[in-house]
Amino acid sequence: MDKEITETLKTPNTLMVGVVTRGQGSRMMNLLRRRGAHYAVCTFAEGTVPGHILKMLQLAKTKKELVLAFINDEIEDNCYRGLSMDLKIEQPGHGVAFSIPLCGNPTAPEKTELSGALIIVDKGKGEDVLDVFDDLGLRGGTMLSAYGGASIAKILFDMPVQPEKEVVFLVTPSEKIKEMLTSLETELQMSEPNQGIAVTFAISRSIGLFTEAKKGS
Amino acid sequence: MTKQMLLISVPLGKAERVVQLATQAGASGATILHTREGFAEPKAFQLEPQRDLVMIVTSPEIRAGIEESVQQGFDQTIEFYCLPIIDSVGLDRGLPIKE
Repeated sequence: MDKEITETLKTPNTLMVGVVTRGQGSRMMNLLRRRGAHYAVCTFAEGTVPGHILKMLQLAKTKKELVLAFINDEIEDNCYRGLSMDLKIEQPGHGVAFSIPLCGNPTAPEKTELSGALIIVDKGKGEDVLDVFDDLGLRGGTMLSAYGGASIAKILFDMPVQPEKEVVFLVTPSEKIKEMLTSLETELQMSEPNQGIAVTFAISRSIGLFTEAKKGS
Repeated sequence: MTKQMLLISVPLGKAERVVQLATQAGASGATILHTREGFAEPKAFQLEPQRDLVMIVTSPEIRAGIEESVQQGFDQTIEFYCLPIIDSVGLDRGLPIKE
């Protein structure tokens, strides 16, 4: 039988991110915690399915949950095995999971095939980001609702105002990242102040991601 | 200039204090996600406590200052997680550099 409980919690050096169907977030969090994750949190998200017909029918968004778990890379195999066995995550439509090495991780690879992009924009502009991805042929972004911390309104009127933001997360091959950032810069004027930010991370391992090879099979 | 993303998880409602302390230490902004926490062995009827996850993009030079400032503002131990940023757009105008 597969060993589930990891006895000791080691210092986390990897962030494991999972995107699963709404309702499965707690299950994934508890599974990862049982297998030795140092800490795990979960938030509501929306998956984006590209396609003009689905967009017209207002069906282009699917309800998802995003799980962030901080783990030590020694238990990474154990966590992926658990996701594969319990959540069947490698099967299409069951979700995706990937790992981002944290700062100071000695086993972090120099170059990775996949990269993750996190784009933070004002509420309402998330769709524009997805349109840019669509033009570039990138698919499968995840959108989250967030709040900004820097508030000019609070300084002006002394009122607690939290500006609403949208966060778009996308995993894509590393060779497309430069092109994506250039497009975001030109199409959404991200070099100008208050137009949002985009940052990219290295992804060391993934499971359940859609690939063109899978599409063909 | 290399950049890093600092992730700070605090109980619900404490994010504003974290942002305030981080800004005092030189952070130029933050984004807050409302999340809930998972447990290793949840009980049959388990409420998941809500947490605020504060994301701050910073430079390695001022990261330690931000961590120290935030920790000093809270009685309980705060966990900090740091993600290395490979590339970025929209940050080059804003990140303060420690003198």
